[in-house]
Amino acid sequence: MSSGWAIAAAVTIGFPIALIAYVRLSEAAVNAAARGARTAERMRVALWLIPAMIIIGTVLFYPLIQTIVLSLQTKDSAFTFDNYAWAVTDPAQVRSIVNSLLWVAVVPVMVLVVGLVFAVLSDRVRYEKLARLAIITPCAISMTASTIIWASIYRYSPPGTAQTGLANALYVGITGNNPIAWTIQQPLNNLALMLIGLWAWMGFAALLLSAAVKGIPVEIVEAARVDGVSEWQLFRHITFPQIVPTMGVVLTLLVVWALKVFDIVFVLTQGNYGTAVLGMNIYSQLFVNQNPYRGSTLAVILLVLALPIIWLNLRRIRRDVGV
Amino acid sequence: MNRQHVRGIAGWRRSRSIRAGAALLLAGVLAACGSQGATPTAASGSGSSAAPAQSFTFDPKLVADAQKAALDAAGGKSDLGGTVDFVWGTGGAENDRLKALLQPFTDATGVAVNVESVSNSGQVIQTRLQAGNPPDVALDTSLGAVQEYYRTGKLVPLDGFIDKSSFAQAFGQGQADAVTIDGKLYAIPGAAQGVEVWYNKKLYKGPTENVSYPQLVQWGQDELKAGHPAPFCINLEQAAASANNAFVQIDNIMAQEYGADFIHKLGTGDIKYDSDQVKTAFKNYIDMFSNGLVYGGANAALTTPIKDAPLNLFTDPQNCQLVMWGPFTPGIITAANPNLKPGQDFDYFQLVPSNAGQPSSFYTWGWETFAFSDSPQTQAFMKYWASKEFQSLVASTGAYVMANQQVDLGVYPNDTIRGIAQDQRQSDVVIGPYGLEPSSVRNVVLSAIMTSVADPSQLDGELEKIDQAYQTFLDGGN
Repeated sequence: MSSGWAIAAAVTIGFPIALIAYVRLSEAAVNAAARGARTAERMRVALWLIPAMIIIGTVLFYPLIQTIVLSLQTKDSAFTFDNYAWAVTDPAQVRSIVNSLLWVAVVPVMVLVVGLVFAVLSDRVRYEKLARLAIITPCAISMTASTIIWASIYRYSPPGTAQTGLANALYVGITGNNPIAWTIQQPLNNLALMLIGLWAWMGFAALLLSAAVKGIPVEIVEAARVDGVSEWQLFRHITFPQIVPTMGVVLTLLVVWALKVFDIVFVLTQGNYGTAVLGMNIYSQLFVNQNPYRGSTLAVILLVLALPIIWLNLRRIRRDVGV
Repeated sequence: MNRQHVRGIAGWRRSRSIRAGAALLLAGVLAACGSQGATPTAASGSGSSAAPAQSFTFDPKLVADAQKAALDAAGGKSDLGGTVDFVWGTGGAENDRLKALLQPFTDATGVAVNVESVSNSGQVIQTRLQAGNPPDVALDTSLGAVQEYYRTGKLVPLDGFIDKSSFAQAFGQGQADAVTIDGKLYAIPGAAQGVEVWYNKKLYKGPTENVSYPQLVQWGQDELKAGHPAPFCINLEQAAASANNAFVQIDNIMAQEYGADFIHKLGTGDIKYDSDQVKTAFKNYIDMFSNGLVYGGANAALTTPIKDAPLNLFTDPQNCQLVMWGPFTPGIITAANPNLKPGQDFDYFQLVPSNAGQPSSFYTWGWETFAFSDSPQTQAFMKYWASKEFQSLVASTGAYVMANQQVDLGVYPNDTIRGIAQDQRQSDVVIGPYGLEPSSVRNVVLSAIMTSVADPSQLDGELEKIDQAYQTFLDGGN
């Protein structure tokens, strides 16, 4: 057995054993040391939190702090804001930030709208399961494979030759115009890339929203119908308000995903032709230019852009659970 | 009450849109899968990288020689055992072939070679280096990468166990110098690929003898006026390595037009991309995409896989007449069209300098193997890799022109590849910018080519970016 397998086995088996042992030991410590029930409870909470804090601190906070520290350094300087100045003045970086924001503005909204339409309409048909299966299928395909499928759809052949890409076959067949280089022609190419995100995520959104629609109490819907509301009024005043919390969850997840998007761009254009996003440039700085300082700076900017979304989500969760 | 009961008739009517949507989605998925398989060029051009695993057979005498060389490399220890981790960036059939080529080493020494193929090998090696877990041995197509690894201090000098003078004798002083850093040997050249101009022997009527690039462009323009097929096919799409063929084509053109010394200095950063000569070379090349000399123009070039280009020489009607690419081109053509024979159905010629007084150069970009460990297994492996016997075995596959000049020309399987090997030995071998530049600069060049092909007005700005990237590298990064 190689050392890699031995380590994996030791961690897989050893970690739960160590955790159980820790819990038992901490319980013994609580029983031995605590005098009152309240003190025992406080001790237990503190002791049980320690392993989680250590793990989170090791895998989350330490790298986060390290990333922030690196973002404030260059190879010649221990503390500088040069990287940030570069990130907000270098045209290529500004372009990537703008593109990332464009993804955040467009993709979640597109996915949400399509998912919502699907959820509401599919709830009214007998073959709902089949329709759901069809829309969820792209979720089962890895993003890289999805992008390769779409590369075939966007394939371009010279004018006058057979268009083997579906998009150009349809476009040329319907309009009679010359084919379009979907992945190159700006700014259309960014939308073409985003469409892949829509295709990949709409099933996920539809599934969650569909569950939310089904969760609306039947009595409310029935009462509304008895009162003679139209379909639109039913959606506007009953369905929509009831599924807003789920839409919030979906939107949050999609915004965070859109901010982090990398695979679609990397596979299809490698960030060329004005399609670079923050994730792509972080990769380039870290692994191609081997510049951890600038790579970390872009990562921190990505984090800062995501923070308001995370904050809003936390606030919503607290409100929902009444904390 | 069941929700089904409260659904209105109006809702049922809306089901049509859902049905249509689901059908469209399914059609999209099926069409996407279908178009992947139905594209003749994509399927047929995959011979070099996407073919299924296959068995390889080699000349038994060459295998026996290779085994003997491996045993010698291991100091006569047939039970040396252990492993060597090897990382490179080529997959598919070529990866299978490499494993087969390394089998004599394992058979003779008992050392297992774990060949790992990763498309972004440079990034994987860097990450493993940072994690303190580098592979024992790696292969890269760039000497610039070797320089980058040298900077990390983790690269193992080879002259402790490989004799420098016999190395220079086998590979030529030029190649030995190229892999020497601060007086020590750090890499072993493997294949020495060049850039040839390939054509369909039965259809091509253009010049093949002593043709310079400007003459070829002039001929191409005449062909266009005569209404003949596009002179060139240049496809650029290859994921993260897109436009690498264009990079070596421009390098080769500059090597012939400006000489070996010029492109060597360009590759080392001593000549700027912003210089007039480089600008002219790039502009002339980029212009080919917009003035009709390249089949399909810029859009087709940027979106069509590189490996499909040579197949256009054999379409009916012919899509284009010439393809500028390396000695592996015959392998791609014959994988897609097994009936075609090199030398009989297709052939090649080399570009020569416009200036008759200037010696022609054999341009190459390197194929360097280097080590991060100096274990007995790694030492044996590197000695085996450098040996005439191993390089002869590789040469016998016909897929590569080998750097070891002691390889007998007779082992090359056909006159075409043998001819290229002969060209290599009769010319000044020069490694150009593609093989010399660090990956950070190389990446900017690739991006500059693609951006400029898409929009020629951006060429000057893109060339300036290359100089900036190189300066940043020379300054030791930011």
